[in-house]
Amino acid sequence: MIGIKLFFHCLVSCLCVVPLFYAANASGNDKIAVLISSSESRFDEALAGFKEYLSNQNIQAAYEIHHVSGDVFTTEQTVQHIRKSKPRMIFTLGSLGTEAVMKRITDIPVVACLVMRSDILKKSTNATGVGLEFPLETQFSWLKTILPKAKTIGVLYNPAENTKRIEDAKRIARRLGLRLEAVEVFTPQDIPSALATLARSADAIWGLADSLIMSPHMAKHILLFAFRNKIPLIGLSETWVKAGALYSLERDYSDLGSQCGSMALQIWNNAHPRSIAPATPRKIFYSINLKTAEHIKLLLPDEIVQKARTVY
Amino acid sequence: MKNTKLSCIMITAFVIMIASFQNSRAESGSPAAPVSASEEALLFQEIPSVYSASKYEQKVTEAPSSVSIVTASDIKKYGYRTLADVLRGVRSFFVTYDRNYNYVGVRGFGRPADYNNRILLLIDGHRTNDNLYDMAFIGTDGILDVDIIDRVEIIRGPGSSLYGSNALFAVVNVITKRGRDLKGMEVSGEAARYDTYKGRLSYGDRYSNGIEALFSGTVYDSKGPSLFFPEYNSPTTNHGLTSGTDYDRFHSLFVKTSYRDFTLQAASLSRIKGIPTGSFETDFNNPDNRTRDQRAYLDLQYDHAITAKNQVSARLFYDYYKYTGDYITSGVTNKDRGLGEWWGGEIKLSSRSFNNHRLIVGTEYTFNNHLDQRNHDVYPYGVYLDDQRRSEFWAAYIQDEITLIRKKLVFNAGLRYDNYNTFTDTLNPRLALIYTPWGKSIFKALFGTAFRAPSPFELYYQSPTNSPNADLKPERISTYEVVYEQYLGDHCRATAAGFFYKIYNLIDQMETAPGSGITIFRNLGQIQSHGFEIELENKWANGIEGRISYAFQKTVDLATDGILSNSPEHMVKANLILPLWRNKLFAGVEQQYTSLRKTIDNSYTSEFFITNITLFAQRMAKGLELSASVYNVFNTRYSDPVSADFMPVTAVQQDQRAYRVKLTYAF
Repeated sequence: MIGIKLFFHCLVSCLCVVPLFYAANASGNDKIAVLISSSESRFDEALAGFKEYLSNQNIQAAYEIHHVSGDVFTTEQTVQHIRKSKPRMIFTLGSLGTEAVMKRITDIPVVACLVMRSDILKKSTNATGVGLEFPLETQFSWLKTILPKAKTIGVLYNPAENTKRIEDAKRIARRLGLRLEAVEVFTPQDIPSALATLARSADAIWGLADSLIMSPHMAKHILLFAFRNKIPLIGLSETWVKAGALYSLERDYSDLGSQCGSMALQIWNNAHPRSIAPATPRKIFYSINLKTAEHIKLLLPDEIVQKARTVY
Repeated sequence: MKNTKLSCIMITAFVIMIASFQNSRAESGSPAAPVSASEEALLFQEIPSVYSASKYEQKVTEAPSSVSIVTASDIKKYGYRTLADVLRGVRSFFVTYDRNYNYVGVRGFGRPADYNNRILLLIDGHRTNDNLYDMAFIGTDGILDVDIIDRVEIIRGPGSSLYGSNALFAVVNVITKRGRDLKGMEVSGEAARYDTYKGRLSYGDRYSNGIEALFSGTVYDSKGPSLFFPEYNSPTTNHGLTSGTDYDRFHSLFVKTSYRDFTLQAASLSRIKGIPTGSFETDFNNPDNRTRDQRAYLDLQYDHAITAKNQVSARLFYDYYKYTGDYITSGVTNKDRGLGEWWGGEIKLSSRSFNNHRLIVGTEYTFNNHLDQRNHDVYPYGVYLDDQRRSEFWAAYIQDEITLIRKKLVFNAGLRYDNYNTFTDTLNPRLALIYTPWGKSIFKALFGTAFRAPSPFELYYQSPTNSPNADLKPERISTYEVVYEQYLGDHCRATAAGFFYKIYNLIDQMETAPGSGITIFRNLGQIQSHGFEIELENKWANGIEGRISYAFQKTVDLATDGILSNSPEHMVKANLILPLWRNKLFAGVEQQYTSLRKTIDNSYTSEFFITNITLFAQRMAKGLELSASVYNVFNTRYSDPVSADFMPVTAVQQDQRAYRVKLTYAF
């Protein structure tokens, strides 16, 4: 009886391992090139999650890790090097590395992580991955949960960067019974008057990832505006909440790495990247700032406070 | 020669503007391209907290003037009771009180009984100086309870290039709270020395349909102190003692509603004040000597963003002011009446359509429907004045703020034309260069002129103690100022400012003939002043915040070459807020030193040093705030110079140590 069981296990294992062995031989190596755009600790968390997932799946890949620390020139050189070294797969963390790879390399599968939006991956023939941004439906549903009285949601956006996003957001907001008041901003100098417009009508300000508006340079201005006008600001991340935004939806960066790992496993098993749809984060947490809530005289239900991952 | 200099400055400004417009055309292009390569940095960047910065990050650095801001939090923690208290605590400002009205002095210039007509007081942008006396009400006669002030912006220097008449020394813009600031009902009660009681009931909220509303009503009653006037120390005048004559009563109402681009505001106040000083040769120690001020306004404002770079603001307003004075002289009641009613509108366009330019153009019109003054004796009946007039004026203005040299240099140029049907027209420019060579150092060089149209009171008022003078011309001021602001760390700001100003055709009150007892307003010679101010303000991470300032000013009457009356040469102010327990209990300590001031008889009031302390508690129980204040802690005896109307009194005694306890509950 034990012998039959052992034989069955060996057979199943062989059936699993043989294709992997075949696939590895078919591409000529088991190397995964990793391109890390930033020295920010979340990038390391995501990479650890990625490696752990593949390791748990018995993928014994050799990792060739490249740090570019936000430097464009180093990134270009590194991408050239990766192209020549012909890895079996490329794992990019961050937009800088991802965009450089997508531009220069079209014949090696790419799994991208920690890019703001997964939409950019759809343009590529050899890339897939997980974006940082939550689906709009998810964002607005959470907004309704935390701010049930908010009906008009204000947002600033740069049309050169976010027109499509705003069109989609307006449609989804309407479906959820919200009104999105979007104010165009073309230069940072437009922001004060745009905010003044929102102050007259918005019940909350939605922090849309927009490099012109939610920049480090403008962050303090926007936060102060929201603070003074007692309008809750939905931050982009925990750092925004710590600084004065009311709440933000949070990702589990280790899980983002695991999520990318599952995509990498499919590619390792010969799936084509185009057959794997880019995804959004599957785990959601949130952080809230009770000092801000008190300042704007917003009473948050205990349940919301208790379930928050971080409370400031 | 003066005109040539002014022309040169204006031509230079014009050339810079034209050149920069051409430059901006070359620079203007497509909108900013996305910088997606670092998008995720938006999530991970460290962002400085807003809590500690809320006071200092008000964009005051870009203002073409030296600006101070007093917040609602300051008002609570320092125990400010009126706008006069607020201004008293601000660098280079001083306030005198003649036991009826408060008068603001700025940078060494404070004429007793000028009714604050050399500063412009705005409430949410609405001009509140009345049309008869041009008076800015800042004491208990102020139309707004300080509890519903969100912040006060004090903009020093001439502001006529944008605001027209009265903005000679400063523009004080009071920003009121909104419904969202209350989110419910708030009731407040206070008791103070001299049988003083005040109650306020306010309600505000922002509703889901977008309407926002705030209602607030206040009642106040004070019996006032007993006072001693040595000038009346004779058996016929109760040995200089007066009791029950310094009473002060008012009730006020404020309503503000807004919906989308529209804001409607209404305010009213009625105040009765006893006159304990025997001014205007009235019977000393007679409680029937009193004034009544009734003030109201209605203001509809529209603000709309036409495009991302172009905004329009419009305003329609109606204002009302009624003054009644009962003056008893030798048993004869003299009734003094003033009725002012005016309405108008303003439209303003601001544009950033040209790169590096922020352009403002606007026009306003005011029609004075009633400028009525009447003065008569009740018995035996005799009319001294029954003057009814109407007048109107319109104005147009333009201001451009040009950013140059990689945003390190800002050139601000403004010009306003005012046309009065009562006197000739006037043109007032303001030019400012603001240079930021390094991130935390700001240099400002400012020049501006301002004017004040003579008020109907100054022109036409006639009574047993005053003669009219219809030939008065507007007074003008030219001001030169340099300001250096240095930010030290995140929340520390040091300011140094030097100024020089000259006033032409100063309108001032004098006796028609020495010893006649009859006063008249005349265009006197020129006043010249120079001085400097330094201020250091800081807010530490542990919640301690404070500021200390010193102001020196030497203001000279060029006709006599003597120091101007009621002009202190030195002023020192120190303010400190100490958090005593968590974020719940605070001590606000305020100290003010004012050097001696000349009175109208060329004697001097003594210098004085005042300390006020307030303990303020919040969050001890839900919605509850409690404060206890002691004003003039060391019981300093001091007096403020007053006008010739008060003769034989030349300086009026001020309050000694006083206390106040205040309880506010929000639900």
